[in-house]
Amino acid sequence: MLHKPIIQLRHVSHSFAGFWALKNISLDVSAGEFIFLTGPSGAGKTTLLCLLHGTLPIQRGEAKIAGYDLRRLSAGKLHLLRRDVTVVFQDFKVLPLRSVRENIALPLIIRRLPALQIQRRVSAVVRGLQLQGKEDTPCGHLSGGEQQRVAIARSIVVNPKVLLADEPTGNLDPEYSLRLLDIFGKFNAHGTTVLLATHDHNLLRAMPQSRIVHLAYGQQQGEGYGPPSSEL
Amino acid sequence: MGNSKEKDMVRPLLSSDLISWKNIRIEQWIAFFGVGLIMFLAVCAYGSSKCLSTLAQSASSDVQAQAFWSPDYPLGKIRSEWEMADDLPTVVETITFTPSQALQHIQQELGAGLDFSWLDKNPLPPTAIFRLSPSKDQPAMDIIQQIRDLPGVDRVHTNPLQLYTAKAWRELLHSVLWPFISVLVLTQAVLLANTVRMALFKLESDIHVLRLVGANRLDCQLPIIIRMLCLTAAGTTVALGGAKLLHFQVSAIVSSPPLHIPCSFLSWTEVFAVFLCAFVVTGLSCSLAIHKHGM
Repeated sequence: MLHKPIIQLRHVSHSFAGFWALKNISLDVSAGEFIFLTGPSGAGKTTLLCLLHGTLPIQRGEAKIAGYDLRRLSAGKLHLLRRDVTVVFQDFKVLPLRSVRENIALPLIIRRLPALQIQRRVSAVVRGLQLQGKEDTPCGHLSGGEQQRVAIARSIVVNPKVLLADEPTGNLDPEYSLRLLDIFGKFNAHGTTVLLATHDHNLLRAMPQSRIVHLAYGQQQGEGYGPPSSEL
Repeated sequence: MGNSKEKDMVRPLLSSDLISWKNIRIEQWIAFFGVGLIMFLAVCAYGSSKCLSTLAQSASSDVQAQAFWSPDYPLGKIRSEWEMADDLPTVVETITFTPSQALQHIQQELGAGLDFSWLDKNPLPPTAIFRLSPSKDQPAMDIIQQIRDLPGVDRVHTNPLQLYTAKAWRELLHSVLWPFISVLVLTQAVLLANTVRMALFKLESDIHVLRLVGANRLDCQLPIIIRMLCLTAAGTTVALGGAKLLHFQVSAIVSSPPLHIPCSFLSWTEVFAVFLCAFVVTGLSCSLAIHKHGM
C-alpha cells in the first residue's frame, strides 16, 4: 500500500560550470516505495542523490524530501534532513582509522542514543551484514566489499525515513548483492523508502515489483515496473 | 557471562568520541606545551614584577624628610605641631631641634672647642627630621605634602634619590610588565588558533563524514573547543606548578641576607585570574580559528 509522497521533484535541474548534469527532472515517490534509479555512467544518478541529501544545492526547480523543502532548507538545519535521509555513498565515506563498530555507531552517537541501545542496534546490523568478527578492525584494513557493507550498515542502523544508495553493490559479488537487496527489501517492508541507483540488471530482475526510473544524459528517459527492457 | 561480554562491547562505544584524537596527537601536544610555556613565562614575569614592586615599596619606606619652620613662628605652636606630626601613623620617628638645640648639636658635632657666643642671634630655624613609612594608600609624596602644609613650615627637604628611584622602578615594572604579558597572551592566541587550524585540516575528512551522517556544527566544533580548554587547563596547571617550584627555590635565596627581598607567590585570586585569562584566550582563539576555517 502506497502512502503520501515523501519525495517530490518538480523541474529540477543542476549544472556544473555550465554543463547540465540534470535537466528538468520531475518525480514523485510515495512513502514506503522501493525505486531503482538506472542509467549509464554520467546519467546524473549520483547528482540526483546528492541533491536529495543536501550535498548539492537545488539550482532550479522545487525539491521536497521527508517533509523538508530543499530549496528553503538552511545550512544550519541540514543535519536534521540527514538524520531522516541517509545515504550509502559510492566511495563508502567510512573513517579508515575507526573500527567497524565505531563507524556504524557514529550516526547513533550523534543522535545521543543510550549506549546499550547503540550496542544492540550495531550488533543487529553487524549480524545482518555478516561483519561479525570484524567489529574492532579499523575500516582501513577492510576490503572494498567489506567497507561497502560498513557504509550500508551505517546508513540502515538509524532506521531512516528515506534510504538513498548510490551503487551499493558495486564492490560486491553477485550472490552477496542479492542478499543485500534482500536486506534493503526488509527495511523497505518496515516503511523505509529506498531509492537505489544502480546499473546492475540482476538487481532489477530480482525485484520486479519495484519502480524503475531511467536517466540518461541528465534527463528522465522513462519509468516503469518490471524487469528492464533491452533499451534500459 | 553474557552480561560481562555485553559490557565489554559497550565500553569502546562509551569511550569513543566523535573526533579522532589519535589523528591530531601532535597538535594536542603543541597546545599543551605551548600553553604551559607561555603561562609559565607570564606567571614568572608577573611574580618577579610583584617581588620587585614589593622591594621598591620597602625601599621607599626609608624616606626621610626634614622640615624647617619659619624663625618668626612661635616655638610653642611648633612644638605642638611636632607632637601632632609624631602621632601620624606613617611617621616612624621624629627628631626635633629648637634653634638652640640645633646650635648645640652642631657644636657637639664639630668639636667642643667651637664657640658660638659671638652670635647675636641664633640663625638656625626650628627643624624636625621625620622618618616615614609610606604605604600604598598613603605614598611618601602625600605625607611630605602634609608636612609641607603644616602652619609655619618654611620648606621641606627630602632624600629624593631613593624615593624617586623606587617610584621609577615601580613605573618601569608596570610599563614593561603589561605589554610583555599582552604579547604572551597574543602569542598564546596565535599558537592555539594555528594549532586548531592544523588539526582541522587533518580532521577535514572525519568532519565531512560526520556532517554527512547528521552531525550539526556544534557536534563537530564543541569537542575541539572543549579539548583545547582541557589542554589549556592542564598546561596552565603545570605552568603554575612549575612557577611555584621556581618560587620555592628563588624565595629561599632572595629572602635571606644580604638581599632580604620579600617574595610571595600568587594569591588564590591571582591564580583564578590566570586560569580565567587562559580559558578566555583559548576559547576565543579556537572559536575564531573554527569560524575562519568555515567549519
